[in-house]
Amino acid sequence: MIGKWYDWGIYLYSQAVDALSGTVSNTSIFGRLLAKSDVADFDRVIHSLEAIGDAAVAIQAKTDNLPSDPATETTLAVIQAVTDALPTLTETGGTVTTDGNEQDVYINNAPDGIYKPVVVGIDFTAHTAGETVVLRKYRRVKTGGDWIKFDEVPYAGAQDPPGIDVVLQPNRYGVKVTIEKTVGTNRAYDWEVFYEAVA
Amino acid sequence: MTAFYDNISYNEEMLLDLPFRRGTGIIADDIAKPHHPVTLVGTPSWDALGSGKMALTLGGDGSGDYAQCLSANCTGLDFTSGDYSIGGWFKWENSVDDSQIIIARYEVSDSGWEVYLTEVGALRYMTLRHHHAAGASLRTGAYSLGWAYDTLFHFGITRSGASAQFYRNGEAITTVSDTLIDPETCDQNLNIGVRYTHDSNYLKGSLARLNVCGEALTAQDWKTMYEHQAGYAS
Repeated sequence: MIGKWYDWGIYLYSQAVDALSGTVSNTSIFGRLLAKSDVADFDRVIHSLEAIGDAAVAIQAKTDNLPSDPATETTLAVIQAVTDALPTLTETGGTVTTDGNEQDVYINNAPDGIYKPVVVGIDFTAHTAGETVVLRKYRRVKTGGDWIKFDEVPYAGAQDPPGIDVVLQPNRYGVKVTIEKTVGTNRAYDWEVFYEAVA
Repeated sequence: MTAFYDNISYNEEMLLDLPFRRGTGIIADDIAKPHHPVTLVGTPSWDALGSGKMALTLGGDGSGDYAQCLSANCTGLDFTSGDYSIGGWFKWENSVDDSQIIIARYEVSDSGWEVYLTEVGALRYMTLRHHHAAGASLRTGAYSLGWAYDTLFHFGITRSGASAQFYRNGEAITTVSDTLIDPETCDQNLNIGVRYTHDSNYLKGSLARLNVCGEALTAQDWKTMYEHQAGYAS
């Protein structure tokens, strides 16, 4: 059955090509279709094609206006300005190897406007029973303001689970997450951050 | 409502994307999947553009300012036969170096690729060049004109097969292209703002964004990217 309809489709397409090129009239197409198969099948196809044709005419009536309608162009430009300003959920990351100083893991020192840092994830797999590190979260609350510490958490010994998330808040003036090894051996900590920002 | 970086058409094969957002320190975060570790050398400064977007300021010849990713950490940028695209936002200034490199992973007349700017009289070129150790030519390339000093531009270069096309601010521009020969594989570092020998061709100006893509971006891709990133200019 599927094969039969496929054959119909190929045949109809070939006839349509001929029709568009002007080599075959519609009457001739109808005659060829009648000769090809059952009339009942043909009637169903005709009805479907008519419905498709009606829909295409309706669509064209609307789309014909799009290229040349100034009001539509203005509306499209307004829509595009909005979509272009949509924030993009972005990810980046790296590796920090501790050295005994307080080190930036993630920092956005001077955002160009309000944006939404989401979370910093840090992998503590390399962190052993002999290490203690402190994670701190800072942000500025005014233009050019000092870094204000909003959280400080020590992590002593092996961590289970080894993944640590530092959840962040919306930001306008600067945000950073730092790590400081206070006990043990310098270790490498992989990290990633997700944030929403305009491109 | 939020878009997702990897779902944006021109990001699908993005290999390196440096938006220079940190604003401090010696690290430039790569927001493309590979997370290439890019470090700053010398004393480049972080300065906001007029739009408020952060940019890296490089001091040019004599400053020692540049950025790099070590060779072993950027083998995915060792383009040979495949299509690729390079773009970003920059502004360059007049300096003692008539040729200033934007981004490159090459060794002259040996291997790799480079993108650089050149002043010749009143002309301001941007050139993509492939380097070859042997064969019909040691260097093949493509160039475009009109890259004025002290002007923030969005640039795009698409290498597809044996030719390249340049774009400026989202629009295709006149490009003169050799028959590009595939670069030989290269083991140099990725250098931003300097020659691979780190002693000349320093970039003097601002870099607000740099990206390298592992496919041939289309004209529509560049136009869309420019429009999405119009905040750099406004």
